[in-house]
Amino acid sequence: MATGAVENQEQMIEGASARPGRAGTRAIRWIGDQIIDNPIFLRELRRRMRGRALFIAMIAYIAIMCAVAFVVIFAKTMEIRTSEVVNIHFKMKEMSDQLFTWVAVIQGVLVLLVGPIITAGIATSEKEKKTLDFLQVTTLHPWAFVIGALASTMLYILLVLLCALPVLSITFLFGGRAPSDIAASFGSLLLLSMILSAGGLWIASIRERSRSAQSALLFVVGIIIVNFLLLRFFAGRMLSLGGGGSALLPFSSFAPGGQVNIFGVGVRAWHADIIGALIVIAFFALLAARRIFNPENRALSYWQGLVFFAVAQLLVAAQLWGPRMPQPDIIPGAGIVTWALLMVGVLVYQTGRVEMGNEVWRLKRRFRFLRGIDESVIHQLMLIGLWVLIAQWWLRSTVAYATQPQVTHRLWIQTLWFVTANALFAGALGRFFAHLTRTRSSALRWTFLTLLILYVILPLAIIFLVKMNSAYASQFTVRLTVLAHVPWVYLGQLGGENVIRELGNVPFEGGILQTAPLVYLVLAGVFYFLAFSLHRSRRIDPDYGVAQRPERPISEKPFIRADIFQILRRDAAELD
Amino acid sequence: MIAIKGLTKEYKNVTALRDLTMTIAQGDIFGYIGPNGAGKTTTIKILATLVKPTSGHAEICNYNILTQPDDVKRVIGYMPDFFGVYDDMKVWEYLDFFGAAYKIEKTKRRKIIDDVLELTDLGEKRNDFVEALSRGMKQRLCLAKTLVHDPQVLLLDEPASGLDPRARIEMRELLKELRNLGKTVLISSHILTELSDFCNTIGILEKGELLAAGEVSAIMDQIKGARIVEITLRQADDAPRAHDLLIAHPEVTAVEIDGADLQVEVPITCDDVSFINEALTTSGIRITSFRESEIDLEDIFMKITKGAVQ
Ligand SMILES: Nc1ncnc2c1ncn2[C@@H]1O[C@H](COP(=O)(O)OP(=O)(O)OP(=O)(O)O)[C@@H](O)[C@H]1O
Ligand SMILES: [Mg+2]
Repeated sequence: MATGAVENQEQMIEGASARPGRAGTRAIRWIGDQIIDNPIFLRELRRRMRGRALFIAMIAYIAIMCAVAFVVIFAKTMEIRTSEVVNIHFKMKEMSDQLFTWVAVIQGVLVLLVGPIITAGIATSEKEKKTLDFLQVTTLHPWAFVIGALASTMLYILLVLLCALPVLSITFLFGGRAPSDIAASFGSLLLLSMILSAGGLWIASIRERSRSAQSALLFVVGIIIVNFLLLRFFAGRMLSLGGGGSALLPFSSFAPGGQVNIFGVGVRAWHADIIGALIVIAFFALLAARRIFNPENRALSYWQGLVFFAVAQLLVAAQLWGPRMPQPDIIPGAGIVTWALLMVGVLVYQTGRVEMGNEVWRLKRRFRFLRGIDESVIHQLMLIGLWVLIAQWWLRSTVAYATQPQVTHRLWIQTLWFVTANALFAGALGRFFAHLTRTRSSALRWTFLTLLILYVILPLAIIFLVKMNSAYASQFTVRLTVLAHVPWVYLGQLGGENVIRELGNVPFEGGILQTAPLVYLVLAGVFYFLAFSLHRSRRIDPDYGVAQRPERPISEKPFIRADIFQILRRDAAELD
Repeated sequence: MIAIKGLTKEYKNVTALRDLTMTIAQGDIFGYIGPNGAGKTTTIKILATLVKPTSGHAEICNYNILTQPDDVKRVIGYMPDFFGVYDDMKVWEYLDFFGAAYKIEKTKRRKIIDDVLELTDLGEKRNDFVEALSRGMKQRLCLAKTLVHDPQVLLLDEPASGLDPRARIEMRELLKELRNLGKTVLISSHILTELSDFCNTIGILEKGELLAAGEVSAIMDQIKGARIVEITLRQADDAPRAHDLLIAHPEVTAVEIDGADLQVEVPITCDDVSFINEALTTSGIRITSFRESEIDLEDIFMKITKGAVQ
C-alpha cells in the first residue's frame, strides 16, 4: 500500500534541500548531485550505452582512424622509398603533420556534427514522443535538464576524442608534434562542440517538432561558416587583427591589434578564446533553459537580458579603457557596435510578446505608481540607462586624451543625447507595431522599414539632391535633414568630421543639431501613446488575483446557469 | 483546494475557455464533463501550469498557478490525455527517473517505487521495458508516475480513454482507491456515465463555458427537474410581447421564441402553470394551443456529454 510512502514523503522532499554540512561542501555536493543524480544525465547514459549502436559506431570510427593512419604512413613510406634525395627527419615530420591534420579533420567533422544532433535529439524526442508534459510538471529545474543533456553529450564527445588517442600518439614516434598540441586540439574541439551542442539544444527547445534536428544541422553549418569565413577571415585577416589563440575559436581575433585588453589588463589570446567560449555556452544554455519547459517564455527575462546587455557593452568598453590611449580608429567602430547593440536590445524587447511576462510584477505590486506604466517602458528606460552608464564611462576616458577637450566634451554630451533619443524612438516604433500586428516578425518588418526610410533612404536622397542642385534643394532639405541626419551625425562625431564631409557637405547648423533629438523624443511619446491605447484592453492584472479570495466550494453551493436548457437544446439540435 | 477565478484562454481564433469560476473542496472527486473541444484539456493544462491563461487565475492548495508554479507542481499529479513513454527504459527506471525529477532522495525512491507499483498492480512488470507494456498497463504506469511524489491533488485528463471495458473497470477501481487515500481528484471525460458512480461533484463544460457544477445528485435533479410548456400564439406578432411578459414572471426561468411558438421553462417545483395562460390572456394575447413539452432533457444531456464525435 502506498500509505506508508504518503506519510514520510513530504519530509523526504524537504530533507533533500536542507541537508547538513557547511556552505562550501553543500555547494560542491549540489553541483555533484546536479550531474550524478541528474535524471536526464542518467537516462541518456543508460539509453546510449544500452544499445549496440554505440559499440558499432565506436568500432567503425576507430577503424576509419586506423585506415587513415595506414594510408598516410604507407603513402609517405612509398614517397621516401622512391625519391632520390631523402631527408628522413624532414619527411617523418611531414608525415606526422599530415597524420595529425587528417585525424583532427575527421574528428572535427564528427564531433562538431554529432554534439548538436544529440542534444537537439534529446530535446526533440521529448516533444515528438509527447513526454515533455510529464517533465514540465515535475519540479525538475530547466537548468538540470540543460546540464544533464550537455553533460551526457560531452561525455560522449570526450569518448570519441579519446578513441583517437592511440592513433594520434603515433605522431610522437615521428616527432614534430607535442602532447600539448593534442591537448590544445582536443580542448578547442571540446569547447567548440559544446558551443554547438548548447546551440542545438536551444534551437530544439524553440522548435515545435522534428524539424529541429534539421535546424540544428543548419545551425551548425551556419555557425561554422560564420566562425571560419566571416569572423576569422574578416575580423582576423582582412582587418589584420587577432593572432595567436585557438585555431577553432574566433573570440580573440576580435581584439584590436592582436592584443586582448580587458580594462587595461592584457590577456593571452588563448585565455580570451576560452572565456569567450564559456560566455557563449552560458548564453546558449540560458536560452535553452528558458524555453525548454516554457515555450511561452520570453527568450530572456528582463534581468537576464540586462545582464547580457551589460556584459556585451562592458566587453566593448574594456577594449577602449585603460592606461593607454586607444587607437583613434577603434573609437567609431566601438561606437557603432555599442549603438547597434542598444538598438538590437531595444527592438528585441519592444517587439516581443504583447502580453508581457510577470518579471516586474513584484515591482508593480510594491510601487503603486508603476502600475500605470507599461512594463516595456520600464525596461526600455533601464536598458538606455545602462547604456548611458557604460558608454559615458569610456566616452569620457577618450575625452580625457583628446587634443581639444572642450570640443570633444560637447560631442560626448551630444552623442549620449542623440543615441538616447534615437533608441527611445526606435523602441516606441517597435512597440507600436507590436501592438498593431501582434506578431513579432511583422512588427520587426514594419519597424525596420520605417527606420530604413528615416535613417538611410532619406539621408541618401538628401545628399543626392544637394549634390545635384544645391540651390534648389537647400531650403527644402535643411528642414528634412532635422529628422534624417541624426545617425549620420552620430557616426560623424565619433569618426571625425570627415565622414560627413565626404557624404556630400550636407549643411549642418548647431541649432538644428540640438533640436533633432527633441523631435525624436516627441515622436517616441506619440508612438508609445498609440501603442498603449491599442494595448489597454489586454493588460494583465498586476495583482495576479492574489488579493481576491475564491468563493465557497461547488459541493456546498452548486452553480447552474439559468440558460442551461436552451444551450443543451440548441446543441442537441446541432447534433441532429 | 482548487479555486478557479475568471479563467479565460484565447487561442488565435478560438476562445477555448471563457470566464471559468469554481472552487473544488479538499477530498472531492470532481468529474469534468464536456464534449470534444469543450476546453477540458485547456483547463487542466492551465491548472498544471503548462499553459498560461489569457486572463484570470487559479489557486491549488493556496498556491497561485501564475506566481508560484513551483509550489503548484509539488502538490499536483498530472496525467495528460495523450502521452508517450521513453523507449529503452525499464518500468522501475522510468519511475526512478521521475522520482529523481521530483528531487526525491535516491535511497527513498526504491520504496516509493515498490509502493506505487503495488498500488497500480504492476509489481510483476518491474523489469519489463516500458514500450512493451499494453495500452492499459501504460495508462496505469502513467498513473503510477503521477503518484511518485505523493501529490495531494490529481489532475487526470481522460485516464480511461482508449481502454477496453475490462481495463476501464480496473482503472475505475484504481481511482476509487485514490479516493480512499484522501486525494482531491479532478478527472475529465466526455462520457457522464463513466464518472457518475465515483465522483461526488461534477462540472459540465460546453464551448468553454461552465453550464453547471455541483453535487452529482443536485445537478441531475435540476436537469431532470425542468418543466417546459409549449404555447402557440394566434399571431406571431405577439410573440415578443408575450416573451417580455413571461420572462418578467418570477417562476419562469427561460422563454424561447420560434415564430408563433413559445417554449416556457419553469422549475419542477412549480406545480401550477395556469399563471402563464392567465398572464397572456389578461394582456390580450390569444393562444391556439397550450401543452407540456415531451422533450427529455436528460436524454439530450446524455447525448451531448457523449460528444458529437463517437
Ligand atoms: N494549442 C492550441 N492552439 C489553438 N487552439 C487550441 C489549442 N489547444 C486547444 N485549442 C482549441 O481550444 C478548444 C478546446 O480544446 P480542448 O483540448 O481544451 O478541448 P477538450 O474539452 O479537451 O476536448 P476533447 O474532449 O476532444 O479532449 C478547441 O476548440 C481547440 O481547437
Ligand atoms: Mg481533451
